[in-house]
Amino acid sequence: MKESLIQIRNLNFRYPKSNFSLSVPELTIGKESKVALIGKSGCGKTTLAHLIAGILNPTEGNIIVSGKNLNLLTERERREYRAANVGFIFQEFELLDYLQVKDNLLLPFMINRGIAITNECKDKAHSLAKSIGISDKLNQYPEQLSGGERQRLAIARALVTNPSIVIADEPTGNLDNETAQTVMQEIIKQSTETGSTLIMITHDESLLNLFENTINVGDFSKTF
Amino acid sequence: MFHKAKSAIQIAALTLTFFLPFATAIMVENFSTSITERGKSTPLLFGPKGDRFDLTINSLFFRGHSSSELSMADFQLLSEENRGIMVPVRLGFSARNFPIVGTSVDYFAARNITAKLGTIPLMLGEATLGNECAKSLNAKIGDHILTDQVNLYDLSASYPIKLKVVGVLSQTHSADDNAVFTSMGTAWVISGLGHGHEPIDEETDNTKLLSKTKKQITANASIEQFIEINEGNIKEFHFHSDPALLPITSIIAFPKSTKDRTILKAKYLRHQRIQPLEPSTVIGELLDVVIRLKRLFDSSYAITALAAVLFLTTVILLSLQTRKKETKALFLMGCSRGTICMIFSAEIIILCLFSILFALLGACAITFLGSDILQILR
Repeated sequence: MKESLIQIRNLNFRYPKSNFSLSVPELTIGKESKVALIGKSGCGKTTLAHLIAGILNPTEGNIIVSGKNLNLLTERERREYRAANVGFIFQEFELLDYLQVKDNLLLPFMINRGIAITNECKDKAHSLAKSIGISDKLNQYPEQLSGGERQRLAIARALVTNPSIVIADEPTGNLDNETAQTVMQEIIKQSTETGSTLIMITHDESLLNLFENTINVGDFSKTF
Repeated sequence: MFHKAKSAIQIAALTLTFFLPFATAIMVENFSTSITERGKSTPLLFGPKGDRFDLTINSLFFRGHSSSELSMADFQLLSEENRGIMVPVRLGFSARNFPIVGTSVDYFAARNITAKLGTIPLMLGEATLGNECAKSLNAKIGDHILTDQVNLYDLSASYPIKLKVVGVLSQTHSADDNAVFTSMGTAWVISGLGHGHEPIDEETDNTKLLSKTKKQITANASIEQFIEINEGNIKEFHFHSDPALLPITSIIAFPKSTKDRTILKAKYLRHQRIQPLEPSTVIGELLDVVIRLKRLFDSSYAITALAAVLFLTTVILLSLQTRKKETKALFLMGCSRGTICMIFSAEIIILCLFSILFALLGACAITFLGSDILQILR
């Protein structure tokens, strides 16, 4: 049994002026585990991921990450926690096409004033770029990269700060099955190398065999 | 590429918006300074009764034409007052499109203009060029320039005269830089009031004579007219009219003192033919019109700028809308809303700063390149 990283107790969340609610009585996610969040559209997969990332604050209950209760943090502290501990991989990558590849890689450091861009950061970015095979394209712009390279760049950007949690929000949503498997394996490989816990939001059941745990978020949510 | 093109278009639009008022302000300022200085350096001006603006612009900036004239008798009258230096000015002709200014040597002393090369014009047929004029014509001392034909189809008009360049003036940054200076005598010869031709005497061939009596010999049109005044023919140049009646455009007065200026002005205020003017006052009135026009332009620019700002705001809002995903991604990654605002604000500020910089550079360039526009009234 892996040491727990995320502990959720008696969580209740409700969007204001909405009839949707999410209730998670108890959920534990271990360190370095690979978890898939599944469920129908609108069941709250992204909501749960955002709660774990500290983007949303629960209405009731506690979310404890690495022993830190996110409910007790101010918005600024949650933002700092997110920048330092959570990496995001988006479905459409959301690379900034006006920044060079190297700057896109360093973006998580740039946007967080709490993290200075040290040589160590640059080295980390360099070694990640090397491991995903784009080290010769650091001075290019994202639009000059192939689709695969852009995906790998997005993965590297999520991992550059050595986050304890990586949240991947349907990164294979637009891909065919074969490519999706390849991309997913790359994400798992890279997150394993950085020792990150991977939480992946997906609709694609064919990918579930790659994950240790699967959480059906639909079991926690209800619409009234 | 898209972002670069978008930024370039936004900078271009903003640059134009900023450029127009900057350029106008700088040009109006330069124009005002230029013509005000000229007015201040000319304490008093005497000319024929008529439009004071025409007279001032004609006499100080050598542009336009004066409809009536004074005579050397008037100049004599003013000189005899003994209240300062009186400088006659004879205008109305040009050489290679540069205005010819017939004047006396006092003009140069009073305006503190020296010859950079050669001398000021002393002899009949000599010309000294203003600095810019010499550069423009690429003329050197010893070269000749022809005066312009006033009316090509007027067969009775005086011939163009070939003037010898004897000097180039130092730069003055005034209308003097773009003028050709001659003596009063040369100016009268150019206007046909004086001329030179081969000698007519008892030995002249009869085919060149219209009539011949014991008292008078009259030549016909076949007699050779000199178009160049040189050492060999200078003695043949003469004026048929009474020297006191020879015309002048105006008289620039440099009174000895303020008191002399006041007396001179007061004395000729009610003169029948002569009107005294203080050029600085006339130029002040002229500038009032310019400033009023500038205000009109300013309000027009303000409306244009407002429209441009509204358009720019629309562009920025649309841009923010299209970059919503980027904003969201930045926020999810831990970027504060304040930092996101700062990033977008910085973009707008950088665009504005570049636009202002380009607008200023453009305004300076247009002022420099557009100095010809200002020359119209220099």
